[in-house]
Amino acid sequence: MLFPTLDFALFFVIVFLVAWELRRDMDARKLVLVFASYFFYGYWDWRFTLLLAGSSLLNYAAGRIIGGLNDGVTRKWVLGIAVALNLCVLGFFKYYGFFLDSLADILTTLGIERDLPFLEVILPVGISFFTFQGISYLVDVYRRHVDASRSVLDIFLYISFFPQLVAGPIVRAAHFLPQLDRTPHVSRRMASLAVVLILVGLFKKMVIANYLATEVVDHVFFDPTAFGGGDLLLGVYAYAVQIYCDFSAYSDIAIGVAALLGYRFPRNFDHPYRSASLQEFWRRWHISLSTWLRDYLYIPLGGSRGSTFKTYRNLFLTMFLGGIWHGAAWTFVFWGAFHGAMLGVERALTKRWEELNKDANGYGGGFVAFFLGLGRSIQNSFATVMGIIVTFHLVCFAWIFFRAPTFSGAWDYVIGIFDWSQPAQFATPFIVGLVAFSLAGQFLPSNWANGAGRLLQRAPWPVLGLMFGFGILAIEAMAPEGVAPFIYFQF
Amino acid sequence: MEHIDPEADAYEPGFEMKPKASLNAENETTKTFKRALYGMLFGMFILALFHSASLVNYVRGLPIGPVEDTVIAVSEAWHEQMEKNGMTELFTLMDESVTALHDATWDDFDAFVRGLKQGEPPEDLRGGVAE
Repeated sequence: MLFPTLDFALFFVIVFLVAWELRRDMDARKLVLVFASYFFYGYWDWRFTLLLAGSSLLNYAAGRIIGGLNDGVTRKWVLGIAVALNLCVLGFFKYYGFFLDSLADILTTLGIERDLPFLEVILPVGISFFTFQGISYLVDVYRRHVDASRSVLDIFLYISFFPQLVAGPIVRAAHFLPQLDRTPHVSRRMASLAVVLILVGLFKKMVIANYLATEVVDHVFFDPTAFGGGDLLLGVYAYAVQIYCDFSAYSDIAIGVAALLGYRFPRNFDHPYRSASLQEFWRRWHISLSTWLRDYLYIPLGGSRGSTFKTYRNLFLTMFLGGIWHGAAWTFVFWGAFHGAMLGVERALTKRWEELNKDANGYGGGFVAFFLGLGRSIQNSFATVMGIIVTFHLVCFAWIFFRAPTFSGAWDYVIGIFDWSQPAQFATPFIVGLVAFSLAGQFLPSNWANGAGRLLQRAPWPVLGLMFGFGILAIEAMAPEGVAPFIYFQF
Repeated sequence: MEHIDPEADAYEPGFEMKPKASLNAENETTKTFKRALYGMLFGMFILALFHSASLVNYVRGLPIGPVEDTVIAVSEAWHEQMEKNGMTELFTLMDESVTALHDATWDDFDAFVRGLKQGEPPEDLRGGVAE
């Protein structure tokens, strides 16, 4: 079931009504939400619900065992086995075909052709997200950040809660489970912010992302050799905007829907394209994944506590595995490795820059210090602008590999950007305006949605209804025909 | 006071005292729930008024059956009435405006900007479709 459909609207109104009517009976409410989540998930393919239930049972049982043990070594073993089982399920569904194809290619290259067992594995929607949530729960129980839940219903709801089930944000057990123990509440402010987030999310997905995808991105990435540099350059900028609008729209709607049911989800995007460094980009882009990778991968690997070499290695490995998490293809491997390598380069350059600045600080006080300070401030502003431009283009370069269907297709795209012999056919005022408008939106204040929510807070229900009704009407009128699935469903 | 168990120094279930903040939160939740529910239903009603075509599209996708046939017939009748009363024109107007923007060329854009500079009321950005 997709968010921007009438099916979902009807489904949500019923769930909203029943969930709030049952708010004093917590167990019944949770049961209804679990049932609704399984219905939502089973709408794609009911067989996926068995996998979801299996994953929830596994994590519930492992959590109980870990929580009941006191011996550190045994706890570690149980955690290791449970995490491995989670990863095996993910690996089978996500990487089986990829490994088999890669193995067949290697064997062919070596001249040893073999018939490998062929098995068409359907990728269950959102498997990476709920697997990571399960692992997060187990590690949090192991680290004693959260108690092992005694309620199987709580774990089922935590793993399957429909707003974030298929494309995040990846909600931590320590953040979500305590909310299930409290009587749910929703304030006027929360509901107003939810309405703003849902409308903005629908606009970003249905208008911006869908137009850019159908009018530019799908064409240029299908056959980059058929287009000139102008179109390819516009295509990669359009993809940068499309993937942001698509993915952040899902997060916005998920956060809004959860808020209307009385649950708070953390923010998942914070104007990522205004980042002046890659490190900052990863603090603003898919925040729930980057913090997950930091807390459950980078820090356990040693983080920045060891030698310089180990820090760079950990950084690279974390991003590399983050790339593989996105999908089973060499393009994702390259995407992750590129980000890992560039983060390492950036870290080294920043260190060198700080050392140079330290040397330049010994000029004493007075006018000299003032002018040096003024110079530094101009220098800093210039550096920030340059940082934003360079970071955005590095990210765009990596997006080419993320979006291209094959590695060779990505190279064709990169090479094609430098060929300006053909006129740009996609650069219409509408498309250029859409890209420019979306990029300009990255420089809005971080809490603008909160401000809009505050304005709406005092509005009575007819005003809320007018805004909701005419907002969706306008979005429907502006959007192209049809509803495309969200990009992150495939992960 | 018969509901207080003096031995356990606690209230019987259902008679516990609730802090004022909690009562306020509950009160606010009830009001917000109603506000959001009425808002959503009113929003859906607005959509049914001004964009009844999507309702017809939706019900036509329903499986065949006596109930579904009735729903389709009612939706089509509703849409016909909305069209007759001019309610669907707002959507058509918005749709045409976006199509005009979508189909505008750089020449149209240039003429629009020139109009703005000369202080004349600029013509709409009309692409090929509107003409």
